[in-house]
Amino acid sequence: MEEDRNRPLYVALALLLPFITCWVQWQFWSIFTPFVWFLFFPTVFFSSRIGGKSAGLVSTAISAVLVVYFFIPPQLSFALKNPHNLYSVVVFLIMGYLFSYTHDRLERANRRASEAHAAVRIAKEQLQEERIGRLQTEQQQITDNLVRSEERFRKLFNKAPIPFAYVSNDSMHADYNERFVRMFGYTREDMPTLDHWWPLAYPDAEYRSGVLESWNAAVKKAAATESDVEPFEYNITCKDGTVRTILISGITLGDDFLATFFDVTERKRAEEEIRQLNAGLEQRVEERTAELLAANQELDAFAYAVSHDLRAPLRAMNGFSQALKEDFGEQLHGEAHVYLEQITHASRHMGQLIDGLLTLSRCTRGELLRDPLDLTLMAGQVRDELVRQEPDRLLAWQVEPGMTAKGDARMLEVVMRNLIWNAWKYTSGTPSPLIRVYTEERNGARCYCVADNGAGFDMGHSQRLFKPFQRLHRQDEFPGIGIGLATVQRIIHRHGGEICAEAEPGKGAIFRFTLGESGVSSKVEG
Amino acid sequence: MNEVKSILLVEDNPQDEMLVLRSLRKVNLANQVDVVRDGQQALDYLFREGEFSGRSGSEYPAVVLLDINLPRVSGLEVLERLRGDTRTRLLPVVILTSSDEERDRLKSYEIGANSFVRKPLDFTEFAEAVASLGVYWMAINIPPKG
Repeated sequence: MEEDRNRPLYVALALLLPFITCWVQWQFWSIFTPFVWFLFFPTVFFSSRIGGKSAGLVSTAISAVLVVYFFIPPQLSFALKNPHNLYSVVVFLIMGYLFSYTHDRLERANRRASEAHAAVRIAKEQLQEERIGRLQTEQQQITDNLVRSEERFRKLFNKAPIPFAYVSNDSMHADYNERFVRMFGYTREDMPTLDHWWPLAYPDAEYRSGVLESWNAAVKKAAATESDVEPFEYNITCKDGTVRTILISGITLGDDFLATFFDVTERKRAEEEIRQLNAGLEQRVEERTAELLAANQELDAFAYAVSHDLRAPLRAMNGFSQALKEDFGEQLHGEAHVYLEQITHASRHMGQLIDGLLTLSRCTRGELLRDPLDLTLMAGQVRDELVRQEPDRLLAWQVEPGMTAKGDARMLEVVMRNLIWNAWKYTSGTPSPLIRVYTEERNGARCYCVADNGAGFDMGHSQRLFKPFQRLHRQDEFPGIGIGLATVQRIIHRHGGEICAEAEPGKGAIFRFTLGESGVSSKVEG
Repeated sequence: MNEVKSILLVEDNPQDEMLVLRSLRKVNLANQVDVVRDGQQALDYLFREGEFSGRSGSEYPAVVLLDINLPRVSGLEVLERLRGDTRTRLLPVVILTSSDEERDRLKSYEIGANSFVRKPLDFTEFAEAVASLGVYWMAINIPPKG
């Protein structure tokens, strides 16, 4: 830039230089003579050096003119007498041109070098700037991240839904989050250090010392085993005076620790409530059990009384009507015998009802035994009993051998007796009666079946079948009291089994029952 | 000592008493029956205490027909007392009751009843049962003390 500005000055100086040289050579001509070009070679050299190529050429031309005029003889004339002089002019002009040309090349090279240098410098600078910029951006980013992370951490700490306290090792500095403040009411100002916390949270000195002991032990243990601070429940007094049960646990962070606080007051209260409810419940269960026991005993006593006291009057009715018939039969006429017969009949029926009720009630009371039983044997005994009673009846029996079961012997005898008696009873009008006792697999369960080909019944009434005192036949068709199947069902249910019937009027009936395995109920579908 | 055999009937129900007596009458045993109506009376009769301290007749009956459900002292308690006393330890006692409860039956035998008979509801059966009891214990059975 500076060079460019000074350029006209340099050009002017370059053009002035031949004149100055001419003046100097003129002044000291006696010294330089006869070397007319002596000072002009350097002049042209310098002119082209400082003025550039054009200035150098012009200076060469001016120098040639000046030398020809002033110094080449004849002096002060442009005449060239000697061809030798003409050559020297030509040589000078060539030299001048060469100087100018060389200088120009030199100059250009110089300029290019300096331009390149400048470019390198600029590039270097830019690179430097860029690097610094990038470093600064990185630095900024790191700082931003740090700030954000710090903010996040602070937010996390402050807004976490669990109360925290961060305590540095020296206990001199403690920090509490918002939930902590909300839970306990104490602020950072209330408790700048951990030492402020203890007397506030545990105003009772004795309790406090216990807490301190247990807490310090827990922290020491956690630090030693590098594990969490074992959680403990403490009763903490809040700023408003309420006492809350808090489960305190924490982690050690190097020499510091972070304590967490869980409010278990409600849980404790609920637990206490549950405990009390349980206690109440237990008491109520005890009361109910006692009541039930009393009711059972009452029922027992009732059944006992029924068996004794209800029978006596019946026996009297039966007995005296019989005695009347025996002792005064001759004096009684016509209808009187029928009436006496009816009394006897009614009292007998009543007796059967009482016995049925007693059996039913007995089957629902008392312990249920589970002994291995031979049902084939049982069915055979019932069969023999019936055959003995009515030896004239012709009836085919099919009793499967080897039927075993687990259950209460006395109760299952009632079951077998009732089912087989029924089969016996309802086949009384069948031409070739058949009673089958067998087992079969149904839905994976073992079913015991008692089947007959007797009167059967309408399945539409089957839901009444197992209800006490419900009968599907008239007394004059098939006598009965309607308590047998009710008893049977109750016994089967007590064993955890199911019973169902399948029948068709005039075709017979099948009764199937299962015996639950140790009380587990299994379903039979008919 | 006069060795006329007798039956002691312990029965609080007058109708049952009548029916028992009627049944025994059929086998000509009615006039050898003494009747008491509760457990205490039975004990007094057998041990000749209280109202029976001066009773005449045989020292001990050939058999006691004992109901379980009795006023004052129950039948089973009477039996226990009899078995606890050397004088009546071996006295034949037949429980004659309406009950067919197993526990009554077992308990009776446990404490030393010689027989357990449930009063049948049907009078014909009842009469038969009582008559055979009377005949068996009075005529067939040989008592411990002849």
